[in-house]
Amino acid sequence: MSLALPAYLLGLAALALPWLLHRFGEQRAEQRDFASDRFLEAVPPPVSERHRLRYRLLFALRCLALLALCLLFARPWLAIGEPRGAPRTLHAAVLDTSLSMRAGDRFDRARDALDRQLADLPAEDRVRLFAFGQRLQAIGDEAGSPAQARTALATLEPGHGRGDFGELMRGLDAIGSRADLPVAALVATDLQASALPVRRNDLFAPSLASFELIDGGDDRPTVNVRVDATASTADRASARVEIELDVSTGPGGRAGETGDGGAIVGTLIVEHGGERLHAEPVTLSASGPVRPWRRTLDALTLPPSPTDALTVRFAGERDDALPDDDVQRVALRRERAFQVSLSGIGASLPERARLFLTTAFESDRSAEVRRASGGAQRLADDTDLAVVAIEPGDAQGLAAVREAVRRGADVLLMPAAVDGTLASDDAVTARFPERGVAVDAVVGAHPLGAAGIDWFGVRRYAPTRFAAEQGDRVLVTSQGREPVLIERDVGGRGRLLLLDDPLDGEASNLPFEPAFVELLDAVRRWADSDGALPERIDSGASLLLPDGVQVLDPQGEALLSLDDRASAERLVLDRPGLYRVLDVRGERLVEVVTDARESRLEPMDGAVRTAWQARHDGSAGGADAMSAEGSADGAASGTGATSGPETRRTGAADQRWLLVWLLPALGLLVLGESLLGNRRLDVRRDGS
Amino acid sequence: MSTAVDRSAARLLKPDVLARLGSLDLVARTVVDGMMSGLHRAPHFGFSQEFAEYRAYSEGDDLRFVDWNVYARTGRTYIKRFRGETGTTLNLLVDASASMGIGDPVSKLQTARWLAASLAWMTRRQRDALSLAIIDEGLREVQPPSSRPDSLPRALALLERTRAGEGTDLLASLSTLRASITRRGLVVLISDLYADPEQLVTALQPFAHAGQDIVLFRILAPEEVEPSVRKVTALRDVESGNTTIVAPDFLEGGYRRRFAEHDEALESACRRVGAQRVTVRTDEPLDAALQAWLRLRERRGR
Repeated sequence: MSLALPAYLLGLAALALPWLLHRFGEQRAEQRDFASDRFLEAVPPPVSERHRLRYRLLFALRCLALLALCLLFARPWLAIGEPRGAPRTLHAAVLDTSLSMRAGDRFDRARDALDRQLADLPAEDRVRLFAFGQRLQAIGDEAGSPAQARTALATLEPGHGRGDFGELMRGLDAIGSRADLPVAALVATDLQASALPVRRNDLFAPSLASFELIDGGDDRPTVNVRVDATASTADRASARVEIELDVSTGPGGRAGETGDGGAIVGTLIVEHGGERLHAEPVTLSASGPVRPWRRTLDALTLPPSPTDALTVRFAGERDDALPDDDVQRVALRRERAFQVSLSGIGASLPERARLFLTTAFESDRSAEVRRASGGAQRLADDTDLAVVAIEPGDAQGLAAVREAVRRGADVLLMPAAVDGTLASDDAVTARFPERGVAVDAVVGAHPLGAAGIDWFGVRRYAPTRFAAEQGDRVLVTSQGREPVLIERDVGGRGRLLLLDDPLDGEASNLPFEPAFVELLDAVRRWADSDGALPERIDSGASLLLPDGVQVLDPQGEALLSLDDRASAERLVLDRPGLYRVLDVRGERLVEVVTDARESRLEPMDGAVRTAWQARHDGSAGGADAMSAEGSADGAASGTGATSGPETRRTGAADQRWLLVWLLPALGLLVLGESLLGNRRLDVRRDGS
Repeated sequence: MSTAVDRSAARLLKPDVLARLGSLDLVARTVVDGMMSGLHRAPHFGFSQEFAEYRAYSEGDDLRFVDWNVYARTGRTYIKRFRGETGTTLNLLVDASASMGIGDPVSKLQTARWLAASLAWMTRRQRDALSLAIIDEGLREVQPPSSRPDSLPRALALLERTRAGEGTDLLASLSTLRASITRRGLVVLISDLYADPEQLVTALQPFAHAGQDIVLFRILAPEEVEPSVRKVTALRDVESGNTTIVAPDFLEGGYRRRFAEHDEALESACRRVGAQRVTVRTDEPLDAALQAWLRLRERRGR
């Protein structure tokens, strides 16, 4: 809807007409000066029958004018001058391309059904083709004829993403609200139950003129097994593999219908570099409530192989409905504690700081803290994080730390403690009174997540000793805007954090506050995050890209061009497998796995489907059923739906009628109101 | 001949003629001369320099009026007194409130100015003392009693520059004036008298008790005596600013009845304080008012 619509502007002009007529046709009542109102008596104006009649007529005219205006607002999309043969409807043809459509011949069935629907459309209608996987994706730049849409439809292939019918309807609703023509949606899908949104009322797109579900599902008995595994190694000689097999059945796939009493027999195989490491027969039950089958292989001996990935697959004796999720490539993750070294360069780390740091890092046994020696030369060796105390004025020491960071060390730098000087320094006392100054995070958008730490109660009693330099990123400051935590880019593979606190319990109360453990935990996660890359994402999801990385797909093909590497912020990975992310820090593996919900092939309940369709057909039963299926809040919002497709189908004719009759009628009504209203106003002014 | 003179005098006294004269001095002279000419030979009126009586000289009398012939013959000093010379003081109080600005083509204030000027002119002809006060919400301007020859031009000048002001508070104005009017004489109030009759009695009673002769000239415009509109009209009180929407039939019925009742109440109030009330309409010649004045002077026997 736009306020610049001609009908709206005409309505505004009509509203201005009474004012103009009043303004220029005004007849002022006679007013005289009089010596004294001592003997005067105000007389209520006698209202004659003629005046009364005129007043009622005026009232009716005003009501009708307002009604006409409301109707105009209710139908602001008047189609003016619609030529003969112009498209009457925009068809949004949607084909489900989610992973579940790969099961059996679902995709072909759905595509054929949609193709038949398109073949029946009038040639002058416009069709826009959409593929619905992880999101609703338009095929082609603009709407075309049904024939063009059928041609494009033949080229579509099923993907590996997860479909959500709530997302689908939201997308269709947005298309319907933006389109100039009434939008009729045709959705060919397998009606997978796991794709239903939590809120059933999300299955409603009120801006659509019509909605039709085309069932492309397979009604034959189907069974699907999904493999999910993780693998880790502590020494690259043996691996710990956790495997989970999830069984789902399609229509008629329950016990007794699969032909083997509900048992699924197959072999679980673990391979490494083409060598089979483990194989065991597995019998899964498809009857009754299906529970995941789990197996943990604690010490799987690894062969000397350059690859750092395993392949886990299930080979069933009978055909699996969805072979794509029967195999998974699993990255071998390093299994060891986060290594923290504590040291000092040109100064010693205070014993209290050592105690505080050790306690905080080892609080959840996720990190190991050890003392380090050898100065800056040893910072990068076999340490995930080096906590280093240094005199801020020690230029040589700082240069050594920078060099270590450039070589790849992650360093948390602290100033060495200054004993016995704080209390006697009057200047310090003046700047930092006894109660100190508060501390708070200033940068929320940083992987460290300092803004998520509760800094309440943390106070500094000593002045800043690390000065922020050009290019530094100040993450935490004191109340006086002095930096407390700084990230400094020294241009290497490692990262450098400067914590302006000797952690001796005197310069601040940070070690005694809950924020201390949270901070060190955030630092550990940040240093251990391999550049904030996730270890695993679902297929079809976006991977947030660090600067200057290259991504190789499972076949080893580079996915980013030179320009993309400079500018791309995210990359959609829709094919399952192991992706390799390369940057200056080396190579990291990202597992892209299929969404477990897509592997569940159970179709949605017939009542839900009927309600979904009926909701758009405008029958009350649809809304009721939807409300009954949905959550309580969804039911409440469902009552707000008003218009059904039948109403919308007649919309075009109504709009023409509105154009021909309503606007002139509105003009006449406003004119009449103005004339009568003007006289009436005059009557009111002089009281007659 | 006499008829022609009367007709001429009547013509000269018409308000539209007076309005064209401009100068108050000229208006007053015209009014008085015209009226006197019209009253020529009237037996009960005389207003000239004709001799009236001799009075023994007393200290302070003007030596110019000593009849030296009588002194030469009798050796006694007598003062010649002329008819009309009364030795009284005329205290003119002119209401210049906003309501006095009403009237078309001649406003009530204009009529009041003419009337006051005429009275002042006659007073000075009789060599009586004259005082003038302009009142509205209070005492706006006062010219103290004086029998000096320049009292007339000063009074005329004050009347000339008087414009209609804001509201009216006769009670407050008269209360203020009461202390300054000590000599017995005439108190002439020229106003439209839109005041509460009881309050008017309260205000005038002290003057009556002091022996003052009180004359109230009530100046009215025809549109407030007999207002007439063809349709319902909004009438704005020029003093309060209040607007009242009135119907034609009310103005011809209820209003006139209320106006008459108020007029009667004023008359009753005047009787209670021994005041004489003369109604002057702005669309009528001033001679009726002046004749009433002369009748009063004659009745006073001075």
